Amino acid sequence: MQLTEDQIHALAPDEASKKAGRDLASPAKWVTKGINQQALWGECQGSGSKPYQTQVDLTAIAFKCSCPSRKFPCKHGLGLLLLCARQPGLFPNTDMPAWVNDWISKRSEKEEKKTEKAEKPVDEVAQAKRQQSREQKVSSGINELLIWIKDIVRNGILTVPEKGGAYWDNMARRMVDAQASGLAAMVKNLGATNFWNEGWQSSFMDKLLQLYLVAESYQYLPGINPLLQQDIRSAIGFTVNQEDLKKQSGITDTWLVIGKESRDEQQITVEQNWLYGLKSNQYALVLQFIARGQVGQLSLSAGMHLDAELSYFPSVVPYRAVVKNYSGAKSAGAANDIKSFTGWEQVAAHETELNSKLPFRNEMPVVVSALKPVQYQKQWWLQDQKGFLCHIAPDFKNIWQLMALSGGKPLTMTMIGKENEYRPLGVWHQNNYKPI
Amino acid sequence: MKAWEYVINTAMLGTDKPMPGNAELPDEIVEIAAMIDAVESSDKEAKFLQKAAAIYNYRQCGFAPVEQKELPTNIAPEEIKLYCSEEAAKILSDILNEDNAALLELWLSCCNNSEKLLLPEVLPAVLDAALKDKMLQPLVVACSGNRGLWLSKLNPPWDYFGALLDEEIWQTGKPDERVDVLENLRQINPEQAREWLQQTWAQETAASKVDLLKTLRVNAGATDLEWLEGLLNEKGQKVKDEALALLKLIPGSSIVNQYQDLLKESVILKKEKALLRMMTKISIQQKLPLNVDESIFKSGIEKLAGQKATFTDESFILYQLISAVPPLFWEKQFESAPAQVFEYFEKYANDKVPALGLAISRFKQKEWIAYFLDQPGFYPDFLDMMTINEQEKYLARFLKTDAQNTIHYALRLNHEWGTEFAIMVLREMANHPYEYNRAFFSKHIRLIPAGIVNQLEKIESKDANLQNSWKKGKDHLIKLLGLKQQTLKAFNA
Repeated sequence: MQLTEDQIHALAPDEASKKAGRDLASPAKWVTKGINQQALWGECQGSGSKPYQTQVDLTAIAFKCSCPSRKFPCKHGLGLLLLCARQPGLFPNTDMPAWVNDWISKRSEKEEKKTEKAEKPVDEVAQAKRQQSREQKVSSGINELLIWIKDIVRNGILTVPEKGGAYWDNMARRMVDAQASGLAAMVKNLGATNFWNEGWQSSFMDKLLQLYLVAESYQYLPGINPLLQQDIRSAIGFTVNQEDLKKQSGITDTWLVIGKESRDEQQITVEQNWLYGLKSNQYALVLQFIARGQVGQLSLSAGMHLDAELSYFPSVVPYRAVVKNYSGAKSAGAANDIKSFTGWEQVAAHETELNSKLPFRNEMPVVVSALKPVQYQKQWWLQDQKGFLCHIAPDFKNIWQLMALSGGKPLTMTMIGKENEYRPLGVWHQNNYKPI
Repeated sequence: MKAWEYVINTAMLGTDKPMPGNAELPDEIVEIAAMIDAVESSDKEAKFLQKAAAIYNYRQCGFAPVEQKELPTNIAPEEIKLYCSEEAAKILSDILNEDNAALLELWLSCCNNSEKLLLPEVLPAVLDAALKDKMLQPLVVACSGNRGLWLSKLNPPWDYFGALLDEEIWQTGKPDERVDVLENLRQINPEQAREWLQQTWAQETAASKVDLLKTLRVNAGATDLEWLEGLLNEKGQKVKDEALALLKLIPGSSIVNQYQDLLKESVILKKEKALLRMMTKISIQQKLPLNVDESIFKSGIEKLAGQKATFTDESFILYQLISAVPPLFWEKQFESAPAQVFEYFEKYANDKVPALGLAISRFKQKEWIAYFLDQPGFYPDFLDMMTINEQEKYLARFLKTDAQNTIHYALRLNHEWGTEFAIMVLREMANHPYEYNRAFFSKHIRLIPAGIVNQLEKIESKDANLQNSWKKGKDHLIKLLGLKQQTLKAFNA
């Protein structure tokens, strides 16, 4: 697996490791080095008497190093990968030394055992029983959740900001016990409302009503359109088997990665990749959940084009998707090739259509042409050609980069948001897509 | 939206309290609300939540952007220069990651020399970097083009684009800014700088008078004499001291003349006939007159040499006086050319040769330097009067005997070191890796030539215990030199 420098940086546990790794990406640091299809290895002269033995499993990125660092991956692993990415010619393709061979062999054995385990036939009766038990747990959890929500509106939300973290955590934990991880996340998000903000009541009620809609809908599931049922189940936390999903036919297109963001959630990096199909004019969200020290199956970066077939999760508003297969990245397309919205009125109509289908949906990306960032009433806005304005989200940090690219002129822009507040993800500047 | 306000108000109070009526709801919601209210089995909380959910979706579906057509247009003027290459931009990104102001300065200077501009997307990062390091500002302004200027007008912290005229800064600036402006002007137009100071002198505070006066050390000359002599009558002692210090730098000033007059009587070249008048015996008589004007000692000349001194008190006074008069004086006093004067001092008053060297430094007598190049004493001020080659040759002479002091002055040179000199310096640095560490190399990378990487790799510390530390610094330096080389290559510099 050939990783880019960005992808290698993304593996670093912190900024210091990233920097230290960069410093070690120098040939002079490595006493020996080598590569083959399975592994990359090198001996780095550190402060100890013996060089550290660093090895990377290339089939499924994993690290091992004899250094005493508690960080994972350590700077040696990162440095070795970076050096290989920058100067692959320096690494002779040779047989693995014994110390690499031992580790790789052990990993292969483990992998084989795992595969054997996976190949065991599924006990369908037991599976159905487990499913039924889960549905019961979810139902009883939702009953409690609805009582909790009603308590909040009965007592009034005026005193909600005074409630401590335990108030939200307890209900979130209850939802985890009820195997409704989606609802648990929604409860946590409700408690994370910024109560110092002016107008917190509105955003709090938005979240509370979304939670209520999902919870309440579950009770009427059989009578609801099957696709919407899937949306409700997904929002509650029922998962869809991605392997099954990949067996279905998808949409083949040239997809532009319009934005990418990562966040850490309890030792897991959640990577959100927003894609836009240049021919199909479809938007997609591809999520990757990556354990610390490993890399995702997909190596996407904002601005990349890829020819791929995407399968959408079943939904009334198909949005989250998995990449079934993809081939190499293409060169970037010009802004003229993009079928974008021409102004905010069109975006509003699109939003209305989405909301009428799925009232509890999250923010989604849009591509809008000829938008210019402007200052009005001491706030930043995006103005379309007709003079309509929508807010730039206050948490958008790169306003000056956007201004520098725009120079006061309109740009075709990708952004993510809802209603009248959006966060720019990238722009087409001189016919190149530039992530912001 | 009034319906949403109804939701918020009801939620704030709680459904336990009497709820506002449904009168303000839009028609579409009224119908739904009626259906919800008609379900008798639902409690009031459920009814409220269901109506609120309907209104929430009604609000989402009906969002309308703000219409504001009257906003003034503000477009950045088109650029005249071309943008830098993608390759150069990539190196800039690496330099910004490295957070190295010296390399950034080099990159900007190459960009400016090749008349190219920064890519727009990188402008905010570079404009911010110049906020931290003001030295970068002129180059950043030059490389930012019209887009940078336009941005600076929108973001007040970047207001350094709106460079005021020097005269405006002089009249309205902060004390430090005024000192800088005067010092810069002094370099270009010394007389105008002095005139500016004369014009505002009466309004200046005592503290600022001293700071401003110090700027006249740059290009102090005969035209300053009259005014500076007048300042000796100022009230403030510190101002008087500074004026005196300045006068001591100018040949022809009253104080220098006073010293010269005393030396005329005290240091005399004696030529006597000896051996039946066949030979001439030469000596330098060094003797102070019996009565020395006490004001001499108030001007900074010390009377006592100190207990550990090798000089007598009289000799020490003469030493100070010799260092405080222009070497030109000796040409007249000894009626000889500079080479001859130097030879006389070397032969007959050798202990005063260093004083003569100090006088050359003080009065910037460039033509006298040649006689001192082989002298054991190191005169750092000579460096400013030498060519690049002479500077490095002169410094190299002292590198073995006084490495740290020599390196200190080598770091003050304005040009990149030559390869040979750089290798010599780095060999010395290898023996002091804690002092010459990564931070040091980051700061002084501009002086080290990019082409020495191969030779640098072979340089090791003599002390085995220091080799690891030196290696860390060396590796860092190699990385920085790589960036430097790439920068130069990207701009064909």
